[in-house]
Amino acid sequence: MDPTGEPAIVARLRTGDPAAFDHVYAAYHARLFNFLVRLSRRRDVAEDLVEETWLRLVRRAARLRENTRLEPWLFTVARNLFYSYCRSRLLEQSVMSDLIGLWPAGSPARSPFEETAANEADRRLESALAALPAHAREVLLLVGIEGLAPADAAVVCGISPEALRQRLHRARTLLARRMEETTILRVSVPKEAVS
Amino acid sequence: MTDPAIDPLLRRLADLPRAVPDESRTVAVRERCHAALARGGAHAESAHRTQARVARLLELAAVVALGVLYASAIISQAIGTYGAR
Repeated sequence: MDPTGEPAIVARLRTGDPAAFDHVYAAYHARLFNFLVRLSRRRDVAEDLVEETWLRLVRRAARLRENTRLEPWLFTVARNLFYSYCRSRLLEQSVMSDLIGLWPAGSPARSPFEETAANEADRRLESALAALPAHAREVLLLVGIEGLAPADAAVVCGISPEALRQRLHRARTLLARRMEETTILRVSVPKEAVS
Repeated sequence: MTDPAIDPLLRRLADLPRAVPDESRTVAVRERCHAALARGGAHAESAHRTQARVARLLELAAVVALGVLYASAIISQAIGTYGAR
């Protein structure tokens, strides 16, 4: 979305203009879904959370400030909804393994990434990303995949820009290490099979 | 420190295939939001009308109160002037 036209879109949203909503929806729906599906690692959860994100925008549209920046606003709401969902799941099940472990255990369907990853390298990167803790994954998703400016990603995560830079650096290092580990594992399997 | 613009690993992340939302659900969510927007708009309009009506009533009440005050002041002055005779 053109940042120069954003105040006008926000002003129209505040009056409940459906065309303005459609404009924002077209710009951010797929991006929010992509962010949430990788953060939650569950397509069904992402569908529910992205819907709730949009409903929040609509309910609060009249109270948006004139200078509201929609990209950080929407990603902040989506991220907060994800963590609320995690908390509610913790209360319900008292386990976090489904959420911050590897791919959901016992999931009958293959992950969307396993299906869409076109090649082995992408698949390895997806797996390594999915295996990271949520706080590391979210900064990589926001900055690396969704292309948010680090300052905006810091707003979304509720931390200072400096803290975000450090978190991004740590997450990137962790991701690289996980990728190396999967490479070593893959290389070592045939040797074991031969011996 | 990691620079997203030049870091090759972050650039590879950006090139990963994107998850695409279900088309029918996308349309359904948009329609729900439109309905909510319309309800919000109707609610705001009705709240605005109620506010305007209350303001008019308050204005009328203030005029009546001032009128009563003025009349009672005139009457009490008249009684004070002519009632003493």
